[in-house]
Amino acid sequence: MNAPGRRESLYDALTVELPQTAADAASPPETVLTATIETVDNDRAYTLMGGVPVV
Amino acid sequence: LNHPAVLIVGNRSDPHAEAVADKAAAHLPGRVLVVDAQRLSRAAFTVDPAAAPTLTLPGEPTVRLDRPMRGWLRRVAPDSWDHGIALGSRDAAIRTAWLSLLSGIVRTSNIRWLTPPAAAAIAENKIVQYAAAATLGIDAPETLLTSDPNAVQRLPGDRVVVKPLGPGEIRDRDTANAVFAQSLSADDPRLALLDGAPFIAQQRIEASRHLRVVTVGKRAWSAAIDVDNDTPLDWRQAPAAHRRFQRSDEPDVVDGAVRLAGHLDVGYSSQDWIIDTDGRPFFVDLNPGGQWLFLPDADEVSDAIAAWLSKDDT
Repeated sequence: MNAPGRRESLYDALTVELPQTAADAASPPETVLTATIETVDNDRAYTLMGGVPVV
Repeated sequence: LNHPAVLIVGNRSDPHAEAVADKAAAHLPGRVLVVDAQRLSRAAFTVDPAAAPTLTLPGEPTVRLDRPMRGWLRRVAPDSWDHGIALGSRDAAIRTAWLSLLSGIVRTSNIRWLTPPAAAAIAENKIVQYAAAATLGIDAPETLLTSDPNAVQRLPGDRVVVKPLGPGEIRDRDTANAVFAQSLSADDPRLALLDGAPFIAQQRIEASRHLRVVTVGKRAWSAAIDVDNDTPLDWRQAPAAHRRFQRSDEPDVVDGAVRLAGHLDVGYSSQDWIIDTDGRPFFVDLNPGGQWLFLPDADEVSDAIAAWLSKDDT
């Protein structure tokens, strides 16, 4: 459900749900699914909390 | 007081931070500090902006950060640290305060970074990366960022690759979601949504091999997977693909990867390249904090980062 006033974007069209194991923090750290989400994860290294660079 | 010589911004629950920390500690026993915002939030600390910070992390001696150190920024906090925290909420404010403390401490300490944090933040931007590749004469797929779906049809070929300019991972309270690179027909009606959030639209290169190249300073390691019918456009979608990487010898790619990393001032990078069906290499993506432990030369990469961190600047 879109927030009021938000336009639809390709995020709405192209987002897929990952298998539950990828979301499970207890997964073995080097599982392939950890690697599967690694690139996007890296974007968060510097921009936690709403995209504000913190370091 | 203990004076660390190496500061790793990360968490030992992350195997990449752990691998480098252990190797650095073999060079400099007792002088490697691993800290992130989560760990800092459990520490005793005193920060006088006019003097050196002191920290006492759980189970460790008090350290004072006033000597020259070498530093590596892996992660400011574990990925899970802010899951389920609503932006603008009190919990978000609390976490941001811890991140600000971490930021203030590392920015006012005497740290020589493998990759300066500001450079890493800049280098993560894909527009910056493709501009750098163009400046250096490194081939990359023709790329556009546009709100106009008709403009996408200027790209060569009938199909285009789209991928997010922003984060590709979206977490709800209970699920992990991702937006992978996807191939769309150049007249796909979904491209009308390009004006709702900036996405990268690219020429689709027919790949024969996918490369992951890791650079540490001027050194580089290259590994590849051959493309078969089961390899998706974005190889990260195929769990088996991560296990199939093998060493590859691609001198032009390695040279380009090192030049790109140098141009962007990132002492570490993991990069994705494609070799097309004519054998021509294309730069696709650079990540200043990407993973390497699934690659065949993982141990050498960890060694190289640890060796750099362990050099004595005094």
